[in-house]
Amino acid sequence: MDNPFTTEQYMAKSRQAISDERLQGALAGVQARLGPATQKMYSTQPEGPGIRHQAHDIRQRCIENLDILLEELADKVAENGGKVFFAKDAAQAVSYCLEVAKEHGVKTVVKGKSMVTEEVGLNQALEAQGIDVAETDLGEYIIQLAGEKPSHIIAPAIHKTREQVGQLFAEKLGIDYISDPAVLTQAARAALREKFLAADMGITGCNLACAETGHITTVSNEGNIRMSSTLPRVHVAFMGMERVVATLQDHDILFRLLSCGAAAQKLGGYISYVGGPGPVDYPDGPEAFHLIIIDNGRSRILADPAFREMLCCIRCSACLNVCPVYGKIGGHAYGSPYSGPVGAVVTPLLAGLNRARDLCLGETLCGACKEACPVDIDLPRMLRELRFRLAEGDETWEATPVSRPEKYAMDAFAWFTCHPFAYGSALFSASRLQTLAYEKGGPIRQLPGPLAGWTRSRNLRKISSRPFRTRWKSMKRPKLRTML
Amino acid sequence: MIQNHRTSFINTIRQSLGPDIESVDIRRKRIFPMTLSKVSQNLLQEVQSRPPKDREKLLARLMDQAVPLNLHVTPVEDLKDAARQIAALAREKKPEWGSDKALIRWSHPLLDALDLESVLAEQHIPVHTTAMYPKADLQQQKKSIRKNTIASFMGITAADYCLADTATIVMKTRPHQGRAVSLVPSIHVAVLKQDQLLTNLTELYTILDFEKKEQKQGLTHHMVFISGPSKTADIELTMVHGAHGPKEMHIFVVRSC
Repeated sequence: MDNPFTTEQYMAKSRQAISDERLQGALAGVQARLGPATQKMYSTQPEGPGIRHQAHDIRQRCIENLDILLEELADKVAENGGKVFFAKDAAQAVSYCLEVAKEHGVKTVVKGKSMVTEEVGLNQALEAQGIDVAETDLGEYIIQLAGEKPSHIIAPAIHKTREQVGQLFAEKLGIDYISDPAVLTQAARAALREKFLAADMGITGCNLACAETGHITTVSNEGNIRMSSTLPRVHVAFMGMERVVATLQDHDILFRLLSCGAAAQKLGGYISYVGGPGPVDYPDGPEAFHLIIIDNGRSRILADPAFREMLCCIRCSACLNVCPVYGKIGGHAYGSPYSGPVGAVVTPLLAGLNRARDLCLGETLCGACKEACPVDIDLPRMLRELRFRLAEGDETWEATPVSRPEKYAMDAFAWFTCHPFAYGSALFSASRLQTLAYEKGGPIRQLPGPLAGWTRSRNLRKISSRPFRTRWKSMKRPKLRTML
Repeated sequence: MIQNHRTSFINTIRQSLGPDIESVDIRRKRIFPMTLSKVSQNLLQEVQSRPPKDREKLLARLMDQAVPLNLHVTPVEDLKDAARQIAALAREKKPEWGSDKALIRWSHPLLDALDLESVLAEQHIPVHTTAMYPKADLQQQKKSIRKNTIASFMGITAADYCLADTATIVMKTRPHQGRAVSLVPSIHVAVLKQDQLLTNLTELYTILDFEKKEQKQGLTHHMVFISGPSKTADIELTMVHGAHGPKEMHIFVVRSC
């Protein structure tokens, strides 16, 4: 199976993105538009700003009872005539879907946007069987025609300008070149209507399932997911195992926040609850409904108390819209369907810490993502935790220390800071030695040998000949009591 | 068929939750509370005894909220008025695919009472329904309903509820009521009574969860919330209406019937 992750190219792709002027404009546009608007919407909720913490509690409670909720969901879906398949990994999920396709003689598939199907590499597997797969979300359709990957969770083709889309459609759909988004949308509408009406199978993701009632839900503004789950004979839904909540009441806050976080909307245009196939005496709806619940590394995240919180994520992409790093390097650099701050945490956990190490090392820890998160996930804490595991090595995550010399250097630094006399002496010697390295009066711009990495993107300020420790002793300072 | 891994899957989750986790029975009771909370009880009562003047306020709120969504909400006095307005739309609008005009509607008491068949006869516009007859060949009926739905430029549905705060209609799926009627035609028209208006999602979920009739019925195998016509902003974040679903949506709220 194709590997969906290309995280090793983070540095190269980031550089490429930063020098792409058009992309920089597009990224600035999406962040300016959605970031502040989302923030404003949180504060207008009747529950007040505390709503994000309420949502966090709901999700946390659900994650801690995941075993119960998934069994309830599966039983209820089965009662309604749906089939539920539990897939340990990507390979199991994909081969089950292929089996269903074969059983129903499927030749054409229409797909609603789904990150988890990108994660398991579904499209390539279906195409390898000679099945025609059409992405139907307009953004996904554009990048499928262009042979690219999504660069934003909600707006996958945000990196493309209207002119580029115009050229692409002229070439692939045989229409006259035009750059008007309304006309281009109409062209895609016409082309995809044919696909919807002819498709044998519809494949969708799942936003939030409800265990109590036994339904999965899908949210879209375009109506493509409703088309994919209503018109074809077979509907297959892929769901990351963490996407379940207990009760309908839980959906109230979460759908409002998901809509705010994703698109600064009060509520997504279409929310569908799917609990099973269309019964035989009903006018429409698919004959068969299959739900594939996927682990693919999530139980390992669940087992680690430091990262369990990550499973609260509802994949709305609000964190992408405020992240200063995403705002510069865009989605492709992350080399994963999950980009931005959420990608920087979840991709290493799914793809391997060492393979995806640059993703968590690249973020700034500024905290904007936590403030923007509708379920108040502490992403900066988990970024620091990942860096810690990468520095120290970690058996359960098969992480080896990124740099042994760095680790030893840090260990030595830790020792010195705990031993004041040694620290003072070392600082004194260093302040004398540094005269060899710095330019007159200025900071050190380049350290020698293996230390050069430190000064590659920053200057080293020189050590004062009279350090603070010395000055502190002779400083006139107020008595502690007056300070209090 | 591939072997299902449910047991080992769930066991892995249990192990991952750690050794200190409480028993399934105890956690189950906590996560699926069986009793109605005081807050929900009060809310349910409030909705059920809402005075007419508050319903009028909800209608005003709905009309406000619909504007930015490009959703047209029109209050009408009675069913006759609603039928007239639908006929006017049918006359004025052009079909998007092909040149023939046809309508498709649910088989539903409220819509049956509109008698669109007669109203539209003078324009020679056929009105199809999604009614199913149990004695005839089901597959054949489904086939022709599908064909008619695709050929129709307007789809007429009723709704279970309408939420004023988000301008959302809520529809469960029942026999004789095709899901595609609100999806495949270019124009979707929903007709509902004023007493079907609710304030927001909180009221809706409380009713769905705790109201006796709703509780008994459940969500049905498929339920959908629709807030306005289909839209996309996937090209340079420019809003365009009519991505895949209806380009236009109208709600007629009947004041008395």
